[in-house]
Amino acid sequence: MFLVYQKLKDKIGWQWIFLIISVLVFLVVVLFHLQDFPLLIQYIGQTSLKIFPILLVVYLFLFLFSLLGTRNKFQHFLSQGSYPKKLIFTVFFGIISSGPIYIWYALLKKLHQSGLTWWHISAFAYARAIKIPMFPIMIAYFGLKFTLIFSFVLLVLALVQSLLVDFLYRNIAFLRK
Amino acid sequence: MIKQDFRQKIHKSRKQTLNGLLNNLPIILGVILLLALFQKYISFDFLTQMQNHHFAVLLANVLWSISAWNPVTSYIIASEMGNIEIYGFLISVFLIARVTVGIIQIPAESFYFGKKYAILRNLLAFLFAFLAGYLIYLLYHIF
Repeated sequence: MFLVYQKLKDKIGWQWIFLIISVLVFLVVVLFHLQDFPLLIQYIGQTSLKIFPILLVVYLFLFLFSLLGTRNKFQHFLSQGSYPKKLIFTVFFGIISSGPIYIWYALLKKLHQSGLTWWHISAFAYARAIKIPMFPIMIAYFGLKFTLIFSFVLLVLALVQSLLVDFLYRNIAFLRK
Repeated sequence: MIKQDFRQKIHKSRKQTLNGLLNNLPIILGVILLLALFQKYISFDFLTQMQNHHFAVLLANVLWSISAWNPVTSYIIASEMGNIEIYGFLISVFLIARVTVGIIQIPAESFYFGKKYAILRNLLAFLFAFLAGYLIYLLYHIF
């Protein structure tokens, strides 16, 4: 079974295996709940419409990145900038980013190839819990005090978590292999 | 000459970007399909009716980490959990885990960053959701 999986992975790539498994799971569930099919399609349509503009922005960034090449100020910052500066950049980037995180992975990988560590990327992932456009709604539900404390704690912990992951990575050999 | 060079560069960059998109599309589509199933079949309403709120916090963290609903939905459910003065911890854990941890997204995260990184990051984010929840609860009562 593992050998078949390995062969398939080498031939078509892991991403296609993931899609095939997801489609199979989806079809099996639909088979048992045929009446839910229109609603599921509606969910898929809604999510796709929501992520499409963000996907466009991500790939526009990637296009510009590729077009600018390696000799520009931003690339220099990513490869030569200090750890704290890059950390602040990724936290800020995390806060302003919107949409689901899996859309941003491709761009994050590109940034990693240009000099960011994965541990900067974990700060990005953590800082995403702070959603500035959602502030008015959050204040309406939980009050200004809670919203401010919530955002402040998350901002601090995004930095702490990134440093902790970095520390673990440097000191546990198993993670580096 | 410069114009032609630039044109070639644009063509190369466009090709690279489209290849990247084609490579990533199966992952995005797979996650969308699985999320549709979660949106339809997983409901967390029962958490608001639970008597043991410590257990509910743990459960909230686990369940939210496998879901990916939009922020407004999570605000509505979290606000129904109870008074912020008393259940601030539960509500905070709920809101944080939803965004920072994603079990459904682990295959995608592993594809880009490697399995070890994906598991370590999600595990830490899961634990940090509790720490953050407690700090928020504490600070809320101090100020």
